Amino acid sequence: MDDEFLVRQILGGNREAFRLLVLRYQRPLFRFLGLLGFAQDAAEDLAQQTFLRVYRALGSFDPRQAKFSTWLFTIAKRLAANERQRAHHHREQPLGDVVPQQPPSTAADPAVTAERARRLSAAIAALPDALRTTFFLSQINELTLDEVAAVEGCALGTVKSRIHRAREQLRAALVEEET
Amino acid sequence: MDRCNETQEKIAAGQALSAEQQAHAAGCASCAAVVASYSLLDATLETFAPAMPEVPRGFADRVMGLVAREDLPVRAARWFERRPIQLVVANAAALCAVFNVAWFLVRVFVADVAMGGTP
Repeated sequence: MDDEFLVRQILGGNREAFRLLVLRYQRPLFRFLGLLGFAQDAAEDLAQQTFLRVYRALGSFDPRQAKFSTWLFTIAKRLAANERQRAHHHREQPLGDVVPQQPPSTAADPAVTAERARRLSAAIAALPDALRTTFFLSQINELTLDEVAAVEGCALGTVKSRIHRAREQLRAALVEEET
Repeated sequence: MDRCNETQEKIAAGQALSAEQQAHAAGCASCAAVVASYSLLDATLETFAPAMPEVPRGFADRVMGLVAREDLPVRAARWFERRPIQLVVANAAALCAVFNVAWFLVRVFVADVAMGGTP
């Protein structure tokens, strides 16, 4: 069942079809919010607000203009930006505790891996907002680069350039301290 | 050199290399250096797990609980799909067509008279 079919079901009176959309998108949405630096409570609150906003506005969703996932992440991104603005940066969680999973094959030492993860975290936090959001949206498997461009409201070329710049800055931060 | 640029651009953008580009990167010192520098980033990104928020148990139920209090969403009629708008647009188009035909006839008639024709 694709998203558009479920939307038609809901608009036709089948409210329960919305549950399938929530179950389908809750994990990538939490991941996106987490990557943006929101901690558990804030992410829960924002995810809930996003789904509620989506439900209320479902009647105005036009599948000819955008895919459902693009529309949902656009709403989530706006709510996240408002929340961030409201919190005036000082309450922002800059990707606090970093837990490295399995060490990369190139680094056997867990301490080295942890140190790299810490540096990467700091480098991500230092990225300009536009680069960070675009980069994280591109890391979410649900969105193609075209869809990221639609969420960001910019050209595909801009998305590619932002990803390129973000990766370059992160790479430089890792390599710089490695040498 | 073009091949190097193309390959290095792809590596920098985090895109997958074609088999041909992989073969090239393996044999080209310049591209191999770029691969090495980005592989550290990719490996670190792969294992990078900031304290991520988890979807709490029963989250969908909670959302559905909120949704149950809402009215069912209704498809909003697009502005161009509204009947009065369609009538106005159709009438305006018809009026425009009549005006254009009339304007054309007047111009032909006036030009004919100016050239000495009989009105």
